[in-house]
Amino acid sequence: MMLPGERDRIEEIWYRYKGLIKYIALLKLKDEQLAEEAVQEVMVAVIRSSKKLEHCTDVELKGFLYLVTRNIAVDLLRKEKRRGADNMEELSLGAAPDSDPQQRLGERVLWDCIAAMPSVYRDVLELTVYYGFSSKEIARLLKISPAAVRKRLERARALVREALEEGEMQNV
Amino acid sequence: MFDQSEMQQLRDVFGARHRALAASLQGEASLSGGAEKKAERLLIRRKKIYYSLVNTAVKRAACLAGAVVLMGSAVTLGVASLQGRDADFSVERYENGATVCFRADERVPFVAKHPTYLPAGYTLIRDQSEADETYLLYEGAGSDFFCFAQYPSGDQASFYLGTQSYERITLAEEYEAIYIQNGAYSCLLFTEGDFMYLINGNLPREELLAVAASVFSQSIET
Repeated sequence: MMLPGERDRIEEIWYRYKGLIKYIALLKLKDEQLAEEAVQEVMVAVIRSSKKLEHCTDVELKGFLYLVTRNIAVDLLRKEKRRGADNMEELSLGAAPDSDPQQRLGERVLWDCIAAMPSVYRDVLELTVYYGFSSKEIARLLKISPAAVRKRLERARALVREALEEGEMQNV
Repeated sequence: MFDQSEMQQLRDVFGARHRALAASLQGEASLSGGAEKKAERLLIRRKKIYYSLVNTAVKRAACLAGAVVLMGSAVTLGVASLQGRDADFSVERYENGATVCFRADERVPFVAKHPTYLPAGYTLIRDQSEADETYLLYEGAGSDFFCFAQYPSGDQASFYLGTQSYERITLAEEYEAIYIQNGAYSCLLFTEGDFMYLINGNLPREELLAVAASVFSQSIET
């Protein structure tokens, strides 16, 4: 039961991250009005995804917000028929961080695979594998058909399989 | 799709990506006053019972139809149907309810009207009107709400009532209307000029009638 004045999870996320969401939206859209429109849509997406975000850490939340905001920004640019939607720059995350030397090679191969993967495949893979969304939920979030979700996931899976097999071969 | 070990590897990589992303995303931007207010209204609205019903256009249409259909209890009656013309309405009774039909002889250009009277504390929260149809959703305190819809003439607009318990009333000594009350929910269907109106929600009867009166009073003034 909530105490008077206590915020629920969605309100917490909103008040904590609204500035970040707008910052990401502005990075992508470079337009104040569009960025604010994107923020409202991100908020609706967060409300719809509230169950999945209930136990997310701050880092995981930022990842989700970045993913959703970027997709909404692409959608808005396309609706506005503005250029830039299809070659929107991604934030560069650099090389894979150092980890256990025993796993370093395999992990680097997978990291490179995911980094090089088209964002349309990577987003679907991330939402499925990391956040646990179903195809139907992803379709609604990204405003694509469930069939498109399954197709992108299949292609992402094929790329990951190739990378994992390559990593195994290099380990041998 | 992936086995457990592969899933774990993928989660590890995505986790590492998130940490790198969080480190590089350090900016903030402030929202305008209007955007803040809009977001706060959404935060309040999503807690309302009907939010999951009216937050999409399709669900809105279903809510409107459902509100009329569910307004009343199903009553099992004989098979015979009665047809009669009730002023501008044609009412057909069936086994479990009735259908109210409105048919106009000619189509005139659609002129949208909004109620000019609102019960205390109510505000317009959604306007999904189109060129030839008005649909407005108003919200009051707590879970109080009502919908206002206007439909064009020249079409047969019909509404299925899940009850035969309706009341025929006259508004302002001139306008025929159908009123249905079921528990806390009420619905008013009436015609005025060349258009048909529907107002439904959990308003008390007198407030519903006052909202309706503010619509047809506009035609007298123009």
